[in-house]
Amino acid sequence: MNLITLAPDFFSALFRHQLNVRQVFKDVLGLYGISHVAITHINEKNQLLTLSSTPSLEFNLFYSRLWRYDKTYHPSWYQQEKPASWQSLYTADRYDDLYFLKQVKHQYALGLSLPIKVNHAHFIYSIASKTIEKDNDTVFKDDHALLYKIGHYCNNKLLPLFL
Amino acid sequence: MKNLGMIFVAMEKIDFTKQFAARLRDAMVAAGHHSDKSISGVNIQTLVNITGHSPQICRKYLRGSAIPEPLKLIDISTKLKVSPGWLLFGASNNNDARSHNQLSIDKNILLYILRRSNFLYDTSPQREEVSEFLLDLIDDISKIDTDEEQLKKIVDLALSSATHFRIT
Repeated sequence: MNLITLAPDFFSALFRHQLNVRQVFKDVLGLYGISHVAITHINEKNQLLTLSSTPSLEFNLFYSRLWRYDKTYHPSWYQQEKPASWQSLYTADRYDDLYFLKQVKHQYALGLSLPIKVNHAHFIYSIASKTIEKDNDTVFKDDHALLYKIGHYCNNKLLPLFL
Repeated sequence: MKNLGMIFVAMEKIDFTKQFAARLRDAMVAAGHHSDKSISGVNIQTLVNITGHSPQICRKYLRGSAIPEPLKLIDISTKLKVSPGWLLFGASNNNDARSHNQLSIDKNILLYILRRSNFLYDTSPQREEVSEFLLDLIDDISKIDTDEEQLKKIVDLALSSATHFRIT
């Protein structure tokens, strides 16, 4: 069984590199209405580490332990390497709590999780927008290749912080 | 001991879903879907037709015990001629730039951030970047659900990442 846990320094890592992380994500925030980007790294020990343009979102998600009910962090989902909308990954019994915490509190109307495996590690790119417009709705629905490119760009720059 | 973050989330969620329900009712009444026969004051069948959801779910929306997913909100808001942002988030997302730019933070925490960040202004030539960094930090801290002591630790961690402002 793949038991996923938080890296021992998960919460401090969210904030410890904030200036560097902010400068990387700043390059892509605003493109196609994107207002939130986070990258989660899952190492060979199945430990999670996340860097985020909005670390308060991940702090609240992981500190409240609601992440356990978010299939974004379930191996059975991310190992398939297929993108999915945030709300499609909330388990039914905690759907409203997750929807509130991730999308209402932080006002992200659209959210997408994009998983990918690189060498022996898994990464999940979380990209969200505060607006629902035709243009960004199309990108979030159909142009996942573009969102993956944005994720790769940030990941390449932030990779040393995960290692 | 109950998780503090979970308690904060639960309290805010109740407020949000009730506010959403009130906005939904207002928008339905304004669009002419008022009903004296219904406890909620609006015609539930209209909401059933718009959403394609069951009457039970639609009652939950109107009671403030559930919220529709974002894309379903677009359908509802289009039919009711309101913006999806307003329906979901209220005035703060109704193209009102002033309220959209407002944030709310505990005074003690704000004072702590201002005191602890003095050194950045004292020694950095990049004052504009420092200001933007601090604004993002204050905005982010204002959304974190935890106690004051932990917030202060988070502030210290985030500020420690900014020491390079002093080097360049």
